[in-house]
This record gives sequence, C-alpha cells and structure tokens, in this order.
Amino acid sequence: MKIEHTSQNTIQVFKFIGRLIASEVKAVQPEILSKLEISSNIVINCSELEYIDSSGLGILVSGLKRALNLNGDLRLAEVMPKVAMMLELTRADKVFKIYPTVAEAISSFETHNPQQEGI
Amino acid sequence: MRALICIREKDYAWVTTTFPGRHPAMIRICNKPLLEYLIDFVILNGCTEVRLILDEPSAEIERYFGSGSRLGIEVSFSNSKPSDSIDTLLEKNSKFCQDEHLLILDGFFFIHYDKEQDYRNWQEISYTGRMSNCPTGTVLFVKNSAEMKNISSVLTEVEFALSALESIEDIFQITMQVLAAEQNHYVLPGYSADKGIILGRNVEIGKDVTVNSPVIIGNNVRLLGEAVIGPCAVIENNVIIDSGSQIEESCVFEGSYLGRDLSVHSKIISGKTIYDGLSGESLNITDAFLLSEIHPVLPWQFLRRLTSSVSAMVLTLLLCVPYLFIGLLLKSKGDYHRLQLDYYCGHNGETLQVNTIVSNNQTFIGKLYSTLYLDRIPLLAQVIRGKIRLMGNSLLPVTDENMQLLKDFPEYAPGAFSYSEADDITPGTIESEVAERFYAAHRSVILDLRMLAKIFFTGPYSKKHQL
Repeated sequence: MKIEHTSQNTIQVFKFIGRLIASEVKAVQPEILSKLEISSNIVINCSELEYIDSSGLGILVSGLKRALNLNGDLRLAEVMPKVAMMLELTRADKVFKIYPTVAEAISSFETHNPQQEGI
Repeated sequence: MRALICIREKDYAWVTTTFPGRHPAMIRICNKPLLEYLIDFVILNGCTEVRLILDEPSAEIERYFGSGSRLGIEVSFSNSKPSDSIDTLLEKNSKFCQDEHLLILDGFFFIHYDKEQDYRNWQEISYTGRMSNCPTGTVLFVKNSAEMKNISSVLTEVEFALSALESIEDIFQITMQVLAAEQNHYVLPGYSADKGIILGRNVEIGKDVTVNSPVIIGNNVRLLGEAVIGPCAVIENNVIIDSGSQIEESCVFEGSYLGRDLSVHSKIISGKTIYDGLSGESLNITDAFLLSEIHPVLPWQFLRRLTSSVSAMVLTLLLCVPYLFIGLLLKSKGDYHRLQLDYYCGHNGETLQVNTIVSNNQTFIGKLYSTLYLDRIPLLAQVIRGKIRLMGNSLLPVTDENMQLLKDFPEYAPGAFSYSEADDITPGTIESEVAERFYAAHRSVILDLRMLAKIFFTGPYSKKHQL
C-alpha cells in the first residue's frame, strides 16, 4: 500500500493507493497520526483505494477520533464502489463525511472549518 | 401433456462464475430453486411428465427432484450438446415427445405466473407456436412434434411473462418483485406466520428482534438479539444473523453468517461475498467476523460412507480366506449356481447389478457358506464402492411393484445387511415392511452399529432369507 501526501492551506490530503488491510496498519497508522499534529483537517483521497478491511477501517476511525479531539475532522473523498460497500456494511458511512471529489471535500473545510470555529 | 425444460450452459454461464459450486438451475428466488418454479408452472399447465434437459448430468438436481413424486409430476432427465437446436432435442427425445401435446421451456429465465390461474384450457384452442419469449429464452407450445417446422413466430397472448436472467441484478430485482408484489402467486417454502411473513422450520428468533414484512426466512435460521429483518428481506436456509444487524431489501443466501451491527441494504450476501443488487458490484470480505460461510461442523455423509467402506473392507479381508477355501470345496462338488440379480440401490430408481454364488443350504458346506456370510462378499464390494450401506434396508429386486413401493419410500437406503435380518423377520411380509420403514426413519450410526452387532451375535438368517 502506498500513501501520497499533499497539503492545501491547513488541509492535509492523503491519497491511499492499494489495499488498506491488517498488514498495513503498522505502517499507515503512525504516518497519519504524526501528520495530525501539524494540522487536524484531513482529506483521504480514496480514488485508488481498492479494498479496505476492518483493520483499515480501524485506522480511519482512530484518525477521525484524534482529529475530532484536536478540533479537526477526517473526511473521505472519491470513494470507490467496493470501499463504499464496506463503509455501508459496517455503518462507517454514517460516521465519516464522504464527498464525491477531493475538491469538494477541501472546500467543505473552507466553508465549515471546525478548527477555525473551535468545535 | 408433457413438458421439456431445457436449460443450457450458454445461457447461464455467468452464474457458474458468480456462484461457483451451485447449479444455475438451482439458484434460489425467494428461497425456492428456479427450476422448481418452472416445474410448478408446467404442472399448472396440466403436464403430468417433465423431462429436464441439461448440458451435463447434475447430481444436485437429480437428488433434489428425484422421480418428482414430491411435486406430483413424473420427472426424467436427459442431456444435450451446446450445439443442439430444439429440433435436435425433439429428435433425441422423440419417444418422450410423440403423440402428446408438448410444452417447451427453453432457456434460462424466470416465469411470472399465478398459481390461482388455470393455464390448462387455452391449449385446446391454441396452435403450435411461440407463446412468450425474452432475451434468454422461449416458451413454446407444440400440438404435435411433427408440426415443429411450422412454428409461428407470432407470440400468443398468454397470462404469464418471462424475465431474462442475465445478471445478478436480474436475480435481485426478480426476488424483490416476487417478495413485495407476487408472494401469493407462487407456492413458497415455509408457513405463513403473519401477512407477508413466511417462516421455515427451526427458526430461532432472539430477544428484541424486529421482523418487518414482507420477509421470507428459511429453515435453520438464527436471528440474534436486536437484529432488524425487513422490510423486503429473504433469509435462506442455514443462516445466522448476529445481533444488531439490519437487513433491508436484501437477500442472504444459504449458508451465510452475517456479523454484528452490520447494515445491509439492496444487497445479496452469499457466504463471504456481498453483491450490490442494483449495480452488480461485488466485494469479497476477508474478515470472518463480518461475513463468512457456514459449513457443517462435520461432513456426516462423508464420514458415514467412509466408516461403511472401511468396515466393509475389514470384513472382506476377514472373509476372503474362508471364501477361497469354501469356494474351492463348493466348486469341486459342483453344489452351487451363479446368479445375477438387479436391485434398486436408491429411492430414485437407481439400480445395481450383483453377481453372486448361491449354495445349497441342505449340505454342510452350503450351510457353512451362508453361516459365515460368504454370500455377502459381492455386496460388501458394493459397500466399498459406496453404492449401498453396510447396514440398511433389504435390497429390493428390480420389479414394477418395487418401483411403485419406492415412490412412497424416500428413506430407502439398502445395505449389505438389513434391518429385517437383524430382527429375524421374514422379508416380503407386512412385519418386515413395518420394520424396514421404522428403522429407515430412525436410523443413526449408533442404531446401525447395534443392528449389525445383533446380526453377528444372533447368527445368519439364511434359513429364511436369500440375497
């Protein structure tokens, strides 16, 4: 699994490429959590995320919890159908804010920025 | 009237890749095999015999439908080549087709009919022709197979419709349609507990489970606490839905486990695979606590067969030395005769040929031959092959009378040693029939071992019985 990282203003964008499964947890989790110290507004670009299992979902949920604790948010964009099915099955689609494009996910922070509002 | 149902691989190839290990004709719509809907339809049309034509013989289908006595129609089987046209099939099955009105269901499709309708009358006024079709099949009516060349391409006005089965989305859409709008049009498995709710046998409904109609729940289903089933849910046989999960507008196929607190909407679950009923997208879930397949804890059938075969092998090895010795003595005295007998080895009419040696029971050697059960060696060979059991019902010789008897005796499973023999009851009597049926209905490994031990302790009964 490969992760590409970019930043736009205070928003960090991660692009997950491949399969986010149990064997990747050790590599992916510290990377996300360390970046959360810089800025807690995160967008995960899932356009090339082929599969996610429950451990992968665990990483996203722990990232979301940490972001919310730091008055930020972790939002998903361009979720592929297979990953969307997994999110729906586990009801994670009710937990994450999901956007059709990365641009929309980023602009959602700009129009409604939890960090700026101090939620 | 007779019916031909032809289901070809070219029409259903997609199912074999989507649901491997299951014959496409046995794919279930609302927990009932597709083929059973087609057979029900031909019965409604007044057919008394149906021939199922498949590309390859299917043990699964033959086991399920048997001779058809359960459905009230005579079922026979035949095979076809992928290149066979309808004309070729009629030619191949000419004996079956001649001198009868014929209903032909050719293709892989679902028929929307209504069990309350009478489909028998229109045939008298109909001409040979195409009644209805869809992209994956046709229903034809033939007054006489000789008229096949004059088939009209004009569709007859009929009170049924065909739905093509070309994808998983079609299966999903038809299932939902039958469940929500046509439930009363078909005979569906289970009993109607409430309006729109059909329950199978051995359904365990946990505390605070909500069931919203319309719902079909199959046999051996466990719904654990706070699960929400329906509206529009089909839970097939042998399924476990864990607590807090919600199934709505979805089907859970046979032998699936669905984990805790999951949400299933517009999906088909088959083992560890989830399909989107609207887009056909599929996902294999690797987490066994989310979705998984349910397998029987022990393959009892296999174990039983293995035990039978191993025991038969041991017995054969023990008996082969006296068999050779006594056989030589019998041969030298010429006090024997060879016999070739045909028996039924299953309730569906499968037969078995046994070549055996019958000795003269009046002589010492002859008595010894039967006392040591040497006459069973040919049968033990059949047990090793898995054709019959070691302990079972008395073998019924192939006769018309016995064929009739088997139609009402689905539990018939013959053995090298029989229950009547264990109870020392003369075969062919009412007492032996009662005993055979009683033990067949109550058979278990323990009972079979007990009966076998009884035979060996009480000695042979060849005074009364022959093979």
